[in-house]
Order: sequence, then structure tokens, then C-alpha cells
Amino acid sequence: MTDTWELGGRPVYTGAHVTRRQDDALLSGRGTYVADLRPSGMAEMAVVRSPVAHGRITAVRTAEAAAVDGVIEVITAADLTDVAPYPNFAAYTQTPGTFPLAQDKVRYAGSPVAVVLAENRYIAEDAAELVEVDYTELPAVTSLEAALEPDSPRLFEDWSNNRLLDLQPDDSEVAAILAGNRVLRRRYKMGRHTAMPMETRAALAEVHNGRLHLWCTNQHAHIARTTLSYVLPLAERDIRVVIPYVGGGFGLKQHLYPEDVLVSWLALRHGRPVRFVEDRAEHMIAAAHARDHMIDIEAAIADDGRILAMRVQVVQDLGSAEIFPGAWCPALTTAAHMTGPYDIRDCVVSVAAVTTNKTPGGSYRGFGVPEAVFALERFIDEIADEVGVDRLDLRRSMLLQPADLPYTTASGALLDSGSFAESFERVVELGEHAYQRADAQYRSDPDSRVGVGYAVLFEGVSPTHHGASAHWMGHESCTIEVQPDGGVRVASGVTDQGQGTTTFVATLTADALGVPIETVRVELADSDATPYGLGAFGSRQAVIGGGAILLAAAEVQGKVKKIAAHMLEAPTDDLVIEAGRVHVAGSPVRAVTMADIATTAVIRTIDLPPGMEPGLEATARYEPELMEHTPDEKGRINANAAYANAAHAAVIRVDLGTGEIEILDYILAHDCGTVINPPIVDGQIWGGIAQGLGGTLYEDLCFNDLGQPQTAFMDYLVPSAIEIPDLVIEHFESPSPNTPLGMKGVGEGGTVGPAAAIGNALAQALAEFSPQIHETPLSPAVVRAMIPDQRT
Amino acid sequence: MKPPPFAYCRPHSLHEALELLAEHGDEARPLAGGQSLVPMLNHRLARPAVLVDIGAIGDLQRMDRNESGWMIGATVTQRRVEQESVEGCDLLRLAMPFIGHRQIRARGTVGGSIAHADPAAELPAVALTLDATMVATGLDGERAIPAAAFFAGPYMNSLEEGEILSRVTFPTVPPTTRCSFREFARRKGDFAVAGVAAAVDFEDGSVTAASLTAFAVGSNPVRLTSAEAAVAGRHLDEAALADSAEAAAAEIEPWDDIHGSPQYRRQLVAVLLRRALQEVAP
Ligand SMILES: Cc1cc2nc3c(=O)[nH]c(=O)nc-3n(C[C@H](O)[C@H](O)[C@H](O)COP(=O)(O)OP(=O)(O)OC[C@H]3O[C@@H](n4cnc5c(N)ncnc54)[C@H](O)[C@@H]3O)c2cc1C
Repeated sequence: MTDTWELGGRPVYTGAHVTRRQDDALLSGRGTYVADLRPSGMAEMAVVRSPVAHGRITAVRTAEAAAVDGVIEVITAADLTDVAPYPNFAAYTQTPGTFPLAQDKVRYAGSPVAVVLAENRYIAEDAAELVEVDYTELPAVTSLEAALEPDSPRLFEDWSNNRLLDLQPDDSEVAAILAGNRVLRRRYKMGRHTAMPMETRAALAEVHNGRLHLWCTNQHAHIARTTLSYVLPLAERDIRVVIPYVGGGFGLKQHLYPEDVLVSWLALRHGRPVRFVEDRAEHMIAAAHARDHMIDIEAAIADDGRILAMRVQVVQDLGSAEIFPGAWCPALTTAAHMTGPYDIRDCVVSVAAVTTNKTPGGSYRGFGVPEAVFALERFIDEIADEVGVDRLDLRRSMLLQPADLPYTTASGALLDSGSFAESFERVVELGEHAYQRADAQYRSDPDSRVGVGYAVLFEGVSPTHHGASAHWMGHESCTIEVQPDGGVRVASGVTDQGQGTTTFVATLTADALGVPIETVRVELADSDATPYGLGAFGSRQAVIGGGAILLAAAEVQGKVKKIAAHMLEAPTDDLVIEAGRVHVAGSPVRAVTMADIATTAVIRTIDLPPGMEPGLEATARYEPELMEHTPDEKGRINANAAYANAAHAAVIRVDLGTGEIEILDYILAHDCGTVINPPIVDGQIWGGIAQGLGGTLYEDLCFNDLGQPQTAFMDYLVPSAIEIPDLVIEHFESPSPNTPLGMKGVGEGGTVGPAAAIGNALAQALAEFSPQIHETPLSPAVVRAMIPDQRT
Repeated sequence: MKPPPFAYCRPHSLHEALELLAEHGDEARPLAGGQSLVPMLNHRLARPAVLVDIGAIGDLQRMDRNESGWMIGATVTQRRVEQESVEGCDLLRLAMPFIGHRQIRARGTVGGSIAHADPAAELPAVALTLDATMVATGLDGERAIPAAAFFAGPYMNSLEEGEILSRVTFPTVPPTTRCSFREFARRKGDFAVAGVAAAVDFEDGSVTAASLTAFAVGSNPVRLTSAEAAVAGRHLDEAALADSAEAAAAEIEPWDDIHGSPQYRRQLVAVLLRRALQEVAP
């Protein structure tokens, strides 16, 4: 691998405001999504879903539905004789044995039980109503506390309990420190919410020349292809996965869902295109949910409040866990972030991930980090109150300073760079100022209280996939081909869900080759056209995909220089590549164009330097050297290629009458290392904050005691533009010495801080009432209950 | 989320619409702006075999004022009411922006909202506060139904089978009457978690008539008669506000859902009423 990463050309586009490539199509409604594809002869699928949360299936009657005019077939699990359950590669977990249709039990309301294939979705839905399923209902487990009870009903009878994952590391060292010091204990919980992409899930399967073509919304073309080959009786070479325009993924589309398998199976069986477009009602119960964590912290506290050691228990509610890849990894990620950017050397975290009769949990932007940050940052404010020290000074006494870097956290994360203390101080400066303004404005209003809250955090970005799948690791891939006319085709395993992936691929390729960006054509998300890569997750694509681009470009450029040197009769060291031309330093007219060089390389190969192979392309793969995939014997792991950091401040006004929180100011200092495209970075921060605020104040996926989902889309309060405050964004740039160009990921940072910042602001605003702020969401009803009634 | 099959007709006269309703009985359903009915069809919560679209009936689109008040045709859109000044009917104008979003109001109709009788809807609350009159038309003719008798439970009205709500008369109020409309919703445009409408008349600073309504806290909007009594004849001072708010919280029987417990809704009604009365106090 390379020791130093650099661009092959001058950074013309890198760091500049390059316009996002897809915006024209996206904003004018010309993007082609799966739901826009209608090959002739297409049939559509409706899924019969379980209305009960936990039950044994005793009979399924499909004859009446199958007889409806326009119905092609009705299938149940019994028909899928050549389908294998999704694999589980994680030896440290129990295995749910997930199958695309429920076999003899259902474990959540919404679980797919049968499928109606019909000429169109209307008929399919009419017939789906006629499928009769008999269930023997079983007691439902509806909370993580209930799932932890030793005698709780088991979802999987062959398991010994409801703990899919139960890691209890040796805590004797920390226990000894706890025993000799003042100990503070708190329990924090984060509610259940999820991504609500504008485009729901969708999949369309076609058979072409005996090969399966799956058009879908998955975030990974290759992982999807491989997984399909594990589940379906198909060789991987006989599967092509294409991901057209996608209207937001946010992690929810990382999973290869049952419907992806079912459309494929039906298309193969019937030899005609089969499509499934999830509707929003299905999305609420059958697309992955997220968060739903409980975190218990016990900490030994010094007299001045500093945390000397922590013992933490993280429990994640997985729902039924019937999802692939499995969804326990957020809990592991929470564990890895429990010390925050503080010098806390002794921290031991046990992790349990439990099954309940709720929609399977899955990936969602933030992925375990918002949970850790909410718990730790609330805890620090609570320590400050308890000990009687200033909450900012307490942070200052523990925050990592520039001189402490590189620093390896107790969990094994290598913080090689960052602006932890500096970004915090900047946000405090702006936050205190904004708070004073708010205080002056509302001091005389008896119905208002204002407060400011802070959160400071680091966030692992560009992680290994192994934590989630125990199978894939962390590399990304790139092929760069210069075509005879000098134009460039770049193909990579990364994918674009609307976040601008295509744009950064073009940007880095253009600068790495020294060509105009307009001459670069980007190909992504087609498993036939791109080299094997892992796609979108964990804010990884710019960092790791970028590395692959730089490596491929360097190889191509090496050859470009050799050919140019031969053509110009000059030494390669004297050559300068710029704007698609290669010239001799100091004499710009002695030049050849990329077209001249590529024509030589591909067509007029007779003109190549003697012995040189024809062609002008390279494929490279990049796997970050310091990323680890499995933990050491103490459970420590550096699971990410890089670590971004941020500090958040929220200034809020609480309406004492209604309990409503109004955000007056939201300030954030963010550091994702080298910035490739400033507007895209800002956009990621805005979107992340919106989703973070959604989970903190608005969004809540509720279930009743029977495991019945209580939150319809109408009640699932995704904040709109009106609810999102103006943001003040401050940029810090601490390039990583270990990543390509010093980049760190930016996709999730905004999501991570709001719960903690708002929680802390609320605690300050309502200090006179000693509120207990240990859970999200902080809905108006919850906040109102913290305020004594005689106030109104 | 696809509707079951249905037939669709779009008559041009009220008579024709009534005949269609008579012909198909409880299989038929009027379609106005579709902002509530179409989602219900898609969720298969309503399964009419025939939709009678009343959107092309000119008579139902009229909006007139006479000495007693504003007569608003059933299919006048909420947006149109919002844009007209509806003089003498401040409460109506104040309530309109709380209904969904502008796009919703551009389609949603006054009659549709009232006939739909959503317990959290604004227009039924305004109708009850102002003692509006609903005019039901059937093949046998018209009958007037006072607002207090129109709402018959959540999503239920007292129209007979085959009747169409053809217009609503909102009485105008004297210039001395001051109005306030307050609701608490989780996001801008959402249905209310709780709301309050107030029309209060004063003489020399004392309340001569108070019409106070709470909505989104029970099966239909309710007049807060105890709270009205608590302010009758009084100046709206701190004590009067407190008495009225307390009476309101005590007299309602709120429901429970994921946005708020009954207790929280009582607190909301108390605070919204207090703020509404503060606003109207001269
Ligand atoms: C996103 C969204 C947000 C919304 N937010 C709000 C809100 O905050 N507050 C609120 O009040 N409403 C809200 N609505 C509902 C909206 O106001 C509807 O317009 C209203 O409830 C129904 O009016 P409509 O004209 O659309 O009626 P339709 O949907 O066409 O009909 C509703 C019902 O009334 C019947 N009906 C309609 N007209 C007549 C008539 N003249 N005679 C007899 N029966 C009739 C229909 O048969 C049907 O049963 C919202 C809707 C949406 C989609």
C-alpha cells in the first residue's frame, strides 16, 4: 500500500463546490427508481403479513385467493423447497435461521406469511385479503426488560434464552476501582425509531438468458448478489444486481429483505418480471426499525467529578432478529464509543442483544453511536450536578488534548487525529453567547424556561463489515479505464442513495488523473459493471472508495506518463499532467492529450513503448491497513479506518404549559478531516441533525402489550423543514495521517449528537424541578410530566 | 394500500347525486375533496362500491353572506375560506391555517371535514363554538341540524342514509365578540393533540357571553359549559382564568393515545384555554 496518499494532479475539484451530479434528475423528477420500471409482462406481488406478534401457524388456506381472476400463484414457506435460510456467520451469536416466509411460527406483527403474485398490485391486494391463516397465539415479549427475564417466553424454542448475543467480559479490574471509590449509577434508554426514506423498499426481478437480474434498493450490489446465491439455488455468476436511483437508504436498505428473495424466486419460477414496491403501511412494520437501547453505567468518580473507571451494560432490543445481515452490531458499536473523546482508561462494557416480538431491528444512520453519546454526555452532566462542579470544566478535565494524540481508547479505537478540545471550546463560546441572548429574551416570560446543553463526541467511521456480518471485511474497489477518445470510465463498488457518492467518485477520479471532470463517466451499483465492493454503510465510501480510486488512478497515471514520455521523448519526471493534457515542465506546447495517449494505448498500439502491454486501465482494491476485524482477547478492537469528531450545542426554550421544546439555536462544530465537497458535507450534517432531532423529539415506534404496532405513518412524526432550526456549522479539519488524503467519513455525525445536547439543555432549563432525563424521545407529554402542575 | 374496486360517478346536479345515493343505498358514499376518504379507501377502512363525486355540483360551491351569517356550500374548499375575509366570522378565519397543509386545504372541503367528524378536526370545533347550522339535503328536501346535534361520535354524523350535507351556516358575531383559536399539534399541520376555540363577548370589560369549545380530547368537540360559567359576568383577571382553566380540565373526558395521556390532555386544555382567554381579554 501507499505510504503517503496524494492526488496525481492538482486539486482542481477536490475541496471545491462541485455541483452534485444527480441533482438535475433528482430535483426535476427524472430519476428512474425501481417503481418507475415496468418491463412488459410484469407481475406484482403482495405480501400476506401476520396480524399477530407471536404465534404458531396452524393452517394457511390459499385456494380462495388463488382462484381470483388475475392471480398467478399464491405461495407459502412450504413452496420454497429449494430456498435456504439466510446464513449466520457469527459463531458468538445464537442463530434465528431467518427464512423469507414464516415457516411454523410468526415472531412479529408484519412477518411475511404468504405471497400473492398477480397481474397487478390491486388484484394482488384483493386476493391477499382472502388468504386465511390460523394462528395459535403465544404470549408476546414486547420490551427488552421482559426479554431479559429468565422465564420470558422464548421466540426461538431451540435457544436457551432470548439473548442472541451475550458478551460478558472480565470486569475484575474495573470492579476493583469501583470498590474503592465513590460510585454513581444511571440507566439511560433510547427509544425505537428508524429511517423513513422518501422511497420505500422495492425490488424487480427479471430473467435474461437464464440469468437473474434483480433491480433493487439495496445499498450493496455485490453483497446482495452473494447473499442471493446463498439463499437461492443459483450460482453467483448467474445473478446480476442493479441498483437504479435510490430515494434514501440511511442504513435501512443495507439488509437483503425477504421480498428481494421472493421476487427473484417468483421471476425464476414463472419466467416473467416480478416486482414488489413496499407501501408506507408495510414500511412501518416490515422495514428495519432501529435504536431501542438500554445502557446502565456505573462509574467510579474522583472528588472533582472525573470518571476514574466505568462498568457499562448495553442491551439492544433486536425485535425478532429475523433480518440479514443481523442487527446486533449497533450494540457493539455503542460499547466501542462509551468513553467518548475523554481520557477514561478503564472501561469495561458487557453487551446483550435480545429478541422481542417486534419488527426486526436493523441499521440506521448513527448505528449505536447516538445511544452511547446520549448516555455518556447526560451522565457527565449528572455527575457535575451530583458533585457540584461545572459541567464544562468537568469535560475539560477529561477531554483529549492535541498532545494526547494518537490515543487508543479503552475499547481499542485508535484516535489518530481530531479537534476534540478545540471544537468543544468553539461550540461553548457560541453556545454561551446564544444562551445569554435567549435568557435575556425569555427571562420575564413565566411560561418559558431556556437552557443550553452540550455534547462532545467522536464517531468511528469507515468500519469493518465484520461486526455486522462476521463475513465481509472492509475493502472497496475501483476500475478506471481511459477510452481511446481520452474519456474516462470509472466503476466502483460504492453506491449512491442520494448523498452524492457519484459526485465524489468523479471528483477524485478527475483530480487523481488530472483530467476535466466532464470527461469522467461514473458507473456504480451494477454487479456486472463494477468490481466487487462493499457499498454504502458506516460513512465509509469517500474514505475507502476514495482510496481505491487513488490507487487505480495512480496505476493508470503511471502508464500515461510512460506513454507520454515515449511520445514526447522526455523523461517521465519532467512531465506535468493537467486538464487532460501531458506537457513537459516549462514548455506547455510540448504536449500530448489524453486522447492521443489512450489512442496509442488501445488502438495504435504499434506506437507504444517497446514491450508495453496495450490498454489503459487498472483495477485496485483498498483495505485500510489499521482497520481490525476481530477483537483481541480483551475485547479491544480498532474497528474503523478513521474517527470523526464533533461538538454540539442546543439552546432551547421549554413551554412550561405544553411541555414543548423549541430549539432556538443549534450550533455544531464538525471535523471530518479533509473535505472533498463542502456543500455535500454541510448537506450531510443538516440531514443528520434532522434525523437526530427526529429521534430525540418526535419519532417513536410504539407497541402495546400484545406486540401490536401502535405507530402508523400519520403518527410517526418525521420532522419537516419547519421543525428543523437553522444550524450554525463550524468546520474543523484534522486530516487523519492514516487515510487517503486524510479524509474521514461525514455521513452520520449530525445524527449522533442531538439527543445528548437536547437532553442536557432540558436538564438545565428545568433545573428547578430536578427532572429525571434518562430516556428519549423527549415528547411534549414526557417533558410536561417533569413540570409540577401548580405551574399552570 | 390500493383500494378495493369501486365504481365512480360525477354528477352535475345535487338532485342527480341524491338519486345515485338513493339507488345504491349504503353501498354508495359521497366523495368531496378526498383528503380523508381516499386514504381510508387505500387502507381499506372504507369499501364503498360506488363513489359519488360531488365536486362538479355548482350549487354546493357557493359562499354567500346574509344578515344571519355565512352560508358556505359543502364543497367550498378550506383554502378558499382561508383566503376570503369571512367578515364577522373571525374564528373561522383563525382556525383555517391549522388544517393540515396548504396543499390539503386546497382540496379539502368545509362540508367534507364536518361530515367526516374527525374528533381532532378544527371545523367541527368552530361550528360548535359558533352554533353553526348544518343543512342536510335529501330527495325529500332540506332539514337544518344544529351543530350541537350534528356530531354523533368519532367519525359519525347525524345525516340519514341518502342525505348530503349541502351547506353550513356560520352565524356572524357582533364586533364586540373577540375570538381565539388555539391548538397544540406535534408538528405544523398535524392533527391537534388538543385544541380550544373561544368566542367571548364583553361589556365594560366583563364577559357577557362566552362560547368555549375543546377538541381532540374526546369523541367529538365539546362545549366547555363549566368553564363558560366560570367566566360569566367576570373580568378576565388571573382568578377568572384560573377558575375557567380548572373547570375545563375537570369537565372533559379525554382519550388516551401515543401522543398524550388523558392527564396530559387536561393540562393542555387548561393551558390553551387560559392563553385563549388572555388573548381575548379586552
Ligand atoms: C396530510 C393530511 C393532514 C390533514 N390534517 C388535517 C388537520 O389538521 N385538521 C383537519 O381537520 N383535517 C385534516 N386533514 C383532513 C382534511 O381536512 C380533509 O379535507 C377533511 O377531513 C375531509 O374533507 P374532504 O373534502 O377531503 O372530504 P372527503 O375525504 O372527500 O370525505 C370525507 C368523508 O365525508 C363524507 N362527505 C364528504 N362530503 C360530504 C357531504 N357534503 N355530505 C355528506 N358526506 C360527505 C365522505 O363520504 C367521507 O366519508 C388532513 C388530511 C391530510 C391528508
